[in-house]
Amino acid sequence: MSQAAIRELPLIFARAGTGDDAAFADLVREHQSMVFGIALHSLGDRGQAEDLAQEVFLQLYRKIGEIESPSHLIHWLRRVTTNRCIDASRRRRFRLVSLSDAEEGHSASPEGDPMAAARIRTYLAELPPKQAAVITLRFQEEMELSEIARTLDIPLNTVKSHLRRGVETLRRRLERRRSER
Amino acid sequence: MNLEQQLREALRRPEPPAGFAERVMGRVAQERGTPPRERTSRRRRLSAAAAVLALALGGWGGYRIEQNRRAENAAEEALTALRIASEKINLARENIERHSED
Repeated sequence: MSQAAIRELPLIFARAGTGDDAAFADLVREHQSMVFGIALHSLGDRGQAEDLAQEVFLQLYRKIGEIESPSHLIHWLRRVTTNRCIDASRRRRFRLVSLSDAEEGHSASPEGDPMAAARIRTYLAELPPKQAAVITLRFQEEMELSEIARTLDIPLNTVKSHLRRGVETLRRRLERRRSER
Repeated sequence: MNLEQQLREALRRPEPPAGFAERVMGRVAQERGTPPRERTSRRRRLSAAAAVLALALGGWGGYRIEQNRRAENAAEEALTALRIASEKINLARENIERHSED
């Protein structure tokens, strides 16, 4: 986000709160990759992630009057998106996450291995929903563990335990994959 | 690269599909664009449909009651006719027996 955009955010937020559709569209554009990213990394399916992200923004449109500030907006979007993802994951009896689904929309970084990154995203979406949510908030959103605890409304120790177990499962799966090759 | 770095790398925010914000705004417009009058008339249409259904069910019920009543009357008339016929046959048989005794 550019410095100018950051300066304008409170103004855009205030205009959106008064029913200005153009300002609301700007808010959507500003936060769409955060919301879509949480959904995609938790669910591992682009179609479902887009549907869920659209629902989150529709809910925001209905509740915009209750949001107090731009920082409250970010907290609200992360909380609502993550809770919806956890619910959606629990409703699914099984997950079919393809490498191509996990890969699309991510630009490859010069130093990273794109296949390894896609594999991590695939394995992440197969973790228990709360572990996937905690890892997504920790590594996509770079959130502190105490902030994740507040967002998910769970004790800090539970966040630590989800993170430790989730990362350990990912590590084991990646090592197994390496040893198979 | 250790696993935490790999995770940060793999979980960078992705770009949503092209036109995402426009689709959200389309749904917003769809939701907001349903005027109260239209919502009212939709409620009215539902009420009218419910009333028509109730009338149709009521009419069908009334028709069935009338049919049952007619069937019962017809059965009763048939029984009366049989009773009369039976009495006439008995009378005729008694007359025949009386004549044959004479």
